Amino acid sequence: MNITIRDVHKHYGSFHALRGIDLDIASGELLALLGPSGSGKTTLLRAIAGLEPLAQGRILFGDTDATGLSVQQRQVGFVFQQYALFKHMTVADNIAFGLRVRSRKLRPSEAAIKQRVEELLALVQLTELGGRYPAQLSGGQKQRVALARALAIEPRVLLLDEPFGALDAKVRKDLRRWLRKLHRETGYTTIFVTHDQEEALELADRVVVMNRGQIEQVGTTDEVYDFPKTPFVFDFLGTPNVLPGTVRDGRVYVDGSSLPLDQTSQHPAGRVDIYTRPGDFRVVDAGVPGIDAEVFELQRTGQRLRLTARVTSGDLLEIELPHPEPEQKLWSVGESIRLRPANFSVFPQGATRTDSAPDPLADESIPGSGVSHTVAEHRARARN
Amino acid sequence: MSTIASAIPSAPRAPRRTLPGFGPTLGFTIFYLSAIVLIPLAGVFFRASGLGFDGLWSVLSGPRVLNALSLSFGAAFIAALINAVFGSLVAWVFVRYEFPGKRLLDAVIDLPFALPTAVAGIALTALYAPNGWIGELLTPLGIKVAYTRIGIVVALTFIGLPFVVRTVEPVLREVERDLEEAAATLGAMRWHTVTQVILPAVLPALVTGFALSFARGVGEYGSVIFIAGNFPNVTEIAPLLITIKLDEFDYRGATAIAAAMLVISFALLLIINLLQAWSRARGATK
Repeated sequence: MNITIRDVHKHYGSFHALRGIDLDIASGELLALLGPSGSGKTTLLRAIAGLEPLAQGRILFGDTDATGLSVQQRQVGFVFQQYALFKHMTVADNIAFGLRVRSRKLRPSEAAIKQRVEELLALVQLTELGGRYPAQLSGGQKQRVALARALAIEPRVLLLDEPFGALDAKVRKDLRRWLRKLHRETGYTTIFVTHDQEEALELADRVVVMNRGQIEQVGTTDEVYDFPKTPFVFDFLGTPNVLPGTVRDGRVYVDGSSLPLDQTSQHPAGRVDIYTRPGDFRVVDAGVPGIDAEVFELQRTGQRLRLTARVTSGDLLEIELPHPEPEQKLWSVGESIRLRPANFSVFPQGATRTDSAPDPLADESIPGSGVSHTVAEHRARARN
Repeated sequence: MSTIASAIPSAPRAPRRTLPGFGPTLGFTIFYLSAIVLIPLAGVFFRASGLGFDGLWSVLSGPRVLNALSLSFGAAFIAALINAVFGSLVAWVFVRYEFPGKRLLDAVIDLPFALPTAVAGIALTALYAPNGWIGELLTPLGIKVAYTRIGIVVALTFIGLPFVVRTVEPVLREVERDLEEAAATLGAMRWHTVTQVILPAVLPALVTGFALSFARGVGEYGSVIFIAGNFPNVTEIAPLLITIKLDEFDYRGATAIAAAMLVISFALLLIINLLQAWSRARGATK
């Protein structure tokens, strides 16, 4: 079922949690709501489920206006972060719950319920565990039970709140792959919330990047990664290097050298920030346009070579180069090199990059913010 | 395999328990329980056994004793049931809602714990007597509370309320909001959520509260004797009968009733504990 969200607002006291959300979700789509804590992503998911009453705005399921419908009427499958399994019920009873609480008219026969539970147990690969209690299951198994329980009611949409948040890395990876497969097989419109960019990029068809109650960008995983619309998106999807520069006559001047700009798209003029990812740089020969720098630090970890370079203004760039050839000569610290960013984005200088607003909910670190902050600090020092 | 195993010198005997101090603490526990609980109780049985089986039987089969025992246990049971229902409701309100005066009311709940029971008994009697504030209103309706069995239940309900509230409250607080929301997303109406999700989660605590309230009611003396009227065979509770026997220097009769109360209480509490273990096992505690 496709979902239409129009101008949705939500307040918690004086905190404006959702500020005018507009979003169209296609039927059968696997969509990620990505953002730091406090960005409103979970609130939006709960609003779709009907768990958060809205101050303003409309939510449509297909052609029906669901805004006024109760949680029960919306018929959404919601998987909670902590699974919220009923501890006193067996796995099978948990899954059957949504069918058994239906009014007598709509309730399937007990035999039909049993059969449906068996099917769902098979679907989530827990056939043998129907008689167990939730306390006897591992985290990953609980997650799958929660999913089966949500699927039992044949939901119009499947909503997952941080589905892998409470699991360890290995289980998380397996479950991610499994969920992708499940989505292909069942075809439910699925929306999941995550603060992990890798998870969003790997799993979703499209990603909605949220920040401070607003949508920063919606696009396919490639679009948001390759063409971030705002500095925030760029920052959140990776660890950017930021250099100050100036745009003039279709070129961007940075640190004494200039690079051509892609003429097909629009660019701001004047003073800009140039955003690059660590993997976007190549070391080029003198004579090729590029940025002059000096090797500040060099570290090889297995397949990758991590290079910290200092440009003439004093800014430090974090660079990741591909696996060096065995016979390739590595640079030594202090050596002069020329760097050319294969990809970069240009934003007007001073545009908000990270969410720096005081946020009472921010208790976890934002992935990818660590390095960029150091770079920003170096830049500040260089300017003084 | 075996050669390798035999090549390894046998490990020194591992300490038997990972947590040290089992011996001394268990020893102390048994000593303490014996001194405080077991020996005094054994004394009751010892004194009662002096009567012999026939003597015991003749005391216990008397109609006055039987009536007193059934009244004590029956009234305590009804009062505990009332407390289980309304105590849960009170706990629910305290856990779920914020309202002015909540802290004050919260303290009031504990008053029956602290109040000398005689004070409670006198206050309740004054209220429910035919000319009391509440009794005045009930008399025209033909309802008599003071000096009837209803009065006894009222007193025991008053005394037992905090037991239920204080045992259910913390468990109810632990029931995650998620569970209710999950039930709602699955289409469960409020009634289903309460009966099938919340109630099972707090059931073990509720049973504990019920047992405590019941046990307290069985042994209650001070508050009841004022409101009961103490008519033999009608509103005379077993603890009072024991006191009466003692006043008559009928120590054997008193201990016989006491022993009977002990046995019945113990049996009932054991059943409640088993029920609870069963409901816990179903809930598969974490």
